[in-house]
Amino acid sequence: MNPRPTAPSTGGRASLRRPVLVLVVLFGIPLALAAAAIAVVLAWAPELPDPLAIHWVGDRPDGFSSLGGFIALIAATLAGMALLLGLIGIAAIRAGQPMRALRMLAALQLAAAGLLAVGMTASAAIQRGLSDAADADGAALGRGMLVAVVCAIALGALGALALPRQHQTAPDGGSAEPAPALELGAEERAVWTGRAAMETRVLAALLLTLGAVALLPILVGVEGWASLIGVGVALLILPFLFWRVRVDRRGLTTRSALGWPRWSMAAGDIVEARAVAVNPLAEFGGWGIRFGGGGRWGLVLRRGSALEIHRTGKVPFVVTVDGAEEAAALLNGYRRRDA
Amino acid sequence: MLIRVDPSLAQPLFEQLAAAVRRAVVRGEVVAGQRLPSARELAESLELNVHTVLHAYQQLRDEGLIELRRGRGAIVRAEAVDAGALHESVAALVAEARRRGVPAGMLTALIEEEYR
Repeated sequence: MNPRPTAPSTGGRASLRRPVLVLVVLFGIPLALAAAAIAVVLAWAPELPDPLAIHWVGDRPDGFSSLGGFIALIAATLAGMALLLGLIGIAAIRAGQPMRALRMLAALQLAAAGLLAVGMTASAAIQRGLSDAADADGAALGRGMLVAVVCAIALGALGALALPRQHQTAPDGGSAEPAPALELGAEERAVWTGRAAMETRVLAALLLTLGAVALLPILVGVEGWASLIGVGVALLILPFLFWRVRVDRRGLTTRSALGWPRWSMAAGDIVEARAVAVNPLAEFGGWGIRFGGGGRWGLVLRRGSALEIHRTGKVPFVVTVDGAEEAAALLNGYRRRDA
Repeated sequence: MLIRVDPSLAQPLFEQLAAAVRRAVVRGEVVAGQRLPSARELAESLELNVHTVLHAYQQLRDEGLIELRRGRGAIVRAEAVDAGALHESVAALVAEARRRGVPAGMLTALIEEEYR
């Protein structure tokens, strides 16, 4: 649909296949494992001694903690490591590392998450029904750790196998030809309006995550106010999901369907408008208000056609919108007639 | 949706505006339930009087293309989008009429006859 040069002069940009799957493997599964481990330990809480044994030397426990401290320890180690390795993965993707590196990282991520989640759950499991944590049997823990290692290996293999083997090579969005200019009569006036919305699957992933954040505190029996965090975050991101884009003689206006935030770019400042193809994860590392993508910034809500605005001395602005060709042509038409 | 109006043309501005919205519906650029830009916003963008835009919107409402709701603006009706789907059939019909030398007035009369 977009006019593109037939020979990819800049060699075409490698983009990520199945980006949602990658995010699920890097962040979703490790965080879900952490949540599951915490939920199981909390379910056992009435049968567990206080304090709990959390470290062993040989067969005898030598480190103890309260139940709350143990939960915090699970959350901090698992979530901390999931985020650390996950962010390294994102950085690797953005740096254009080969898929092989990402698959190894995914294997490491899931193996470590499995080892920690199952291992820590096992260390609580062997203390069920004990009145004194000092009696916790190190030999039983050893058997539990064996199970944890098997789980870790299985999960690691799953992590490596789940991800695609190769990047997808997408046409280079940055090398699209400038949009033609609309022929405007001397007195003619024209306005173009379009809508931009967050990609459905990203929206779904967002809703699921927020729903989980809101439900988890209730499921594990923490006070209900914690659920408000999910609701609060949802309210905060709401203005960034649906946008209206307008081009008229004054220039380009991009504003949230709720009215704020909004950005205006004066027609007189615009040097050129183009219609380009944008890949959010590969070029901008994600969705939303984004910086990067070959020295551009903008509103990257979905894969596909986008309006790209060039101004003198400013970083190019991008907004993903249907009918970007028409919008670019109108901006160029005004520029040619009025400038 | 691209709307172009030209004061140097003989056709009244409100009719040009209504025709542009009709074209956008026919071309599938707007979907059922979509809210069109407010009359004030369009008037500002096109340097028109708000009443000119409202005149166009009222005509589109009378044609059944949009609904005008106080506070919610102009909403595209589902029936209008369905009518847009007839675009190809109508194009074929007009092409056939041209081939047979049937003038527009006679074709319109035939269509109206068929509706009775």
